[in-house]
Amino acid sequence: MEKKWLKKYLTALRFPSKWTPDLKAKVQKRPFIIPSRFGFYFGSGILVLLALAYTYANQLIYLIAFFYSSILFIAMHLTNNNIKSVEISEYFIRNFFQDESGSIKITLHNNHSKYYARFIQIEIVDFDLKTTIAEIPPNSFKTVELNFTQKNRGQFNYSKISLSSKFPFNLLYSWKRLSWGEKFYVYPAREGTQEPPYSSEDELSKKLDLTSAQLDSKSDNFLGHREYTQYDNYKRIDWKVFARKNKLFVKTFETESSRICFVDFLEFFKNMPDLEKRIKQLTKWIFEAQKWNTLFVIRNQDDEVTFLDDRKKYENVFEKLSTLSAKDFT
Amino acid sequence: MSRILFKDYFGLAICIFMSTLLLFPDVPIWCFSLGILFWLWRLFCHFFDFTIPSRKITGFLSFLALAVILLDFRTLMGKEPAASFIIILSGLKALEFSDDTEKDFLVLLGFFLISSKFLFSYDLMYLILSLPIYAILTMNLFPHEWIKGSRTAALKYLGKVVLLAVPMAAAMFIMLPRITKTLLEIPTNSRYGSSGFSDTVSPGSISRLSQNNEVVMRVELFNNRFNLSDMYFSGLALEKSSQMNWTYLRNEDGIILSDSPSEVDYHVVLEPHYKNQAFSLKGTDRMSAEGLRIYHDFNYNFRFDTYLEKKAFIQASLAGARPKVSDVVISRNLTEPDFSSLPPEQQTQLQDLVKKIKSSGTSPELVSKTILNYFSSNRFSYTLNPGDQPQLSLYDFLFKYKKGYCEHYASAMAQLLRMSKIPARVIVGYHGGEFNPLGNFWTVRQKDAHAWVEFINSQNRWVSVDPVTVVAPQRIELGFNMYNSIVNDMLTEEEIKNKLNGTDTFSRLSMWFDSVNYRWSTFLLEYDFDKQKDILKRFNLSLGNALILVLVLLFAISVLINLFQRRGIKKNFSQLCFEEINRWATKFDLQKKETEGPATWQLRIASALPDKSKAFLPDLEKAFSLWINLAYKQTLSPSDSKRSLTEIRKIMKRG
Repeated sequence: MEKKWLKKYLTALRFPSKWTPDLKAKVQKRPFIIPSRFGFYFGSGILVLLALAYTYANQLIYLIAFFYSSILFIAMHLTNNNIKSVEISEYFIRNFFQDESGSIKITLHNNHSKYYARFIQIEIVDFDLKTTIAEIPPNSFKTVELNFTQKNRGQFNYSKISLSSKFPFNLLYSWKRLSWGEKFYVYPAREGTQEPPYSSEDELSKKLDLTSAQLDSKSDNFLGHREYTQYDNYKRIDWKVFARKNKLFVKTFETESSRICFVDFLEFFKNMPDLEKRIKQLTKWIFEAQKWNTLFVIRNQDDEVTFLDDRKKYENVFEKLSTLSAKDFT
Repeated sequence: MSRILFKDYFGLAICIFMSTLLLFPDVPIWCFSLGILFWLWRLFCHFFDFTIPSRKITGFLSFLALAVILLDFRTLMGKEPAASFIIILSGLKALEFSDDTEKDFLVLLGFFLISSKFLFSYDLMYLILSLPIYAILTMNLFPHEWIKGSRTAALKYLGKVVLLAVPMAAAMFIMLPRITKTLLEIPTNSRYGSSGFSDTVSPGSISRLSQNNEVVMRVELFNNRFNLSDMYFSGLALEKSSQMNWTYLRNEDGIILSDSPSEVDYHVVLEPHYKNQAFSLKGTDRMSAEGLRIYHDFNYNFRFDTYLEKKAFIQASLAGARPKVSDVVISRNLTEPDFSSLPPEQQTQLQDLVKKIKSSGTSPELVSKTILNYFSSNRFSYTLNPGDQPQLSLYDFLFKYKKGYCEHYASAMAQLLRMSKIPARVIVGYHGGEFNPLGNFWTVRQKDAHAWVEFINSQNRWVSVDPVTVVAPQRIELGFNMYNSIVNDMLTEEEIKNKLNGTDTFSRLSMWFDSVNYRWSTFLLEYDFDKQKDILKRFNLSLGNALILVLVLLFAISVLINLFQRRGIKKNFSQLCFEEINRWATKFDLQKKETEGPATWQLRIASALPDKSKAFLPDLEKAFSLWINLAYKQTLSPSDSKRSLTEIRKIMKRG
């Protein structure tokens, strides 16, 4: 019993610590440092001052040049250390639909016990996204969310992340990059104008040789009433409501089985000439079904019938659609 | 956009404007005015929301300015053309400033602007003024959002950086070889001399300097005690005369490179005056300065080999007697003035005066005495404001006006000596100064400029005589400053006493500052390459070793900073524990699954190793519970975490 409780506790807590270091994530590399463009100008300025001191035998200019060399030297350490103590503690890209806004969540951790990390620039290299975190107090986390869109559906690798900083004097540029071995999906766009292929329970049970119980078994929690349509089983009409409102209403449940969408995969793709359009239309239907808790039934190439009745299955179908190509039909 | 500079970067704008103002005395007036004009233009744009000029316009203007500077100076090398160009460039940059990204370049220009001031002056006052400017400029390198949001934090941060940088800079200054070279090939176009002297002296030309408070030199005497009345610093010997005007005469008296003094009698820190005159105390025989060559002729008139463009630190020694004068010099200094243009009665009057002077005796000493008597007994008076009278004739001075400044008396006396067949000349230089008891040195200013006479005595040696000693003895005994106060400010006796003793607060404060300024200048000037080598020698270090030492020191500081930083970085104890347990488990071909929680893994280990787990189970459970604690209890202190890790290590070792 105790263990069960602990297990629940452990699986629920995913942030900020992880049980194990993410095996796919490469070890965060040490920071590198080079002078920034302004740093080069500044360094050249020091050289000019030294040349002036030499030419005019001016000890004061020597002193000023040395002072600025010291500033440069200290800045080198400050910039390097500013990035050194910062680590990425979370990097997550949620799957999203093509042409829609997706989000990247990044959490940085300043694991130094004394110093602030300031003006840390996060760059998502492949997606050309940049943002700056002004300040991370010692021993703290800061989370940012970046939005971006993708024009193509498919499976993508998590982009490399670059953390960089020019703080404090903009004289040096220190950075570290790391790769993250995860992948994310960009689902096909939800587009299409066709009505969903609704079937009644009877029709479908005949077509797929299924019992009514199989189709009805998914109903559980009562959600509310909605108006009766021709696809609904007349058995589902709530006569009490009809008596009150003089209109036909049916009960809806968490998993709506009385109004069923059915797609025969092969047949569906055979009839529509444009593959992308077909995928987008199908995505829209599946998404709508998920949204309205309508049971969606798919018969795939191998005559297997899949009921999309939980979230994981929906996600699997979307992932499949993301990577679907003409080759899959040959 | 036109408001961004004065709204968001007000401090930066003020700093750069102040730096421009500080360079006012050192650059041509047109360059300075042009720089200011651009600032005014920008102000106009700010207040009237006027469009700021495009980069093309400012770029064109900067090229134009560069061309004009080239035409004016005939070169772009050297500190004056450079400072002029930076002033104009910073004005133009301020004018076109419209974006945060341009801030850094403006700051860099500010650094150059303020640093270029020190090419012209070492003065402590400028350094003190420039310190806040440097601080604000450096602070402006911080991200703007940070300064805006938390100014105090930014200031503290800057303070820490400066505190770290100062000792490092000092160490570099002491240890790194600071070789210097005055590149004579670099043309200098300093046309704005600060010394009031030219090669010609006419009535009024020295008295003009009486209101000029600028410091000429600071002198520190060591072995000899000098009274104020003996402090004559001769600069130029003027041997060519025409009425009351005296001019420097090019001569063949030899050019001898002065040796370094074996025993230093006095130090002179001479401000740049953009001439080649060196000022020496009466009886000086040797003079030397770091980075400069000093020559003298047979008569010990000292000159630099180049125009003095930076402060010179001169060491000098005094000799007893002066050498005898050659016949060439005697005949050259006997040239009588030409009075043929004067009316005959004036000529007769002058000849009568000369006869009268010679009547008491013809020896040079006697003639000189008679002339001084003539000045003292014929109601000649000393005035601080004689006005500019370049056309004044000897006759008018002696018989008509009978009043004048030192150059009037010196000119007249030298002419009278020559008319009495005694070789004489006018010496221009400085007399007296202000003694600073806190720093034990004399400060000589432009207003201490003076002219006196030298004649050749019966032993054929040059002898100095100052006619002002008979006309206004207080001028010589008390110095110009005090004499001026007595004459113009009508001081009471007590006030004069206070002033002489330097007891009033303001005098003491000013003396103190002057003393610090002097020490600062001498420290910087003295601390040259040779001095550096001496100090290193004392520590048995050669220059190469010192260089290596500095590099090692910098590396050590680097390592220390990194170590210090690493101390603060929290170790990921949870991960270390996991690795420890994992390492142990791999011995038995067990690996944690990605999806597995620690509890399940612990169970799996226990079931996979039934023999081992019997005895080891409590320990394993303990290790896992420590690990769980470490991973989820965020408040666990580093020492507790470390203890847990050690415990797990022990357990795993046993297992």
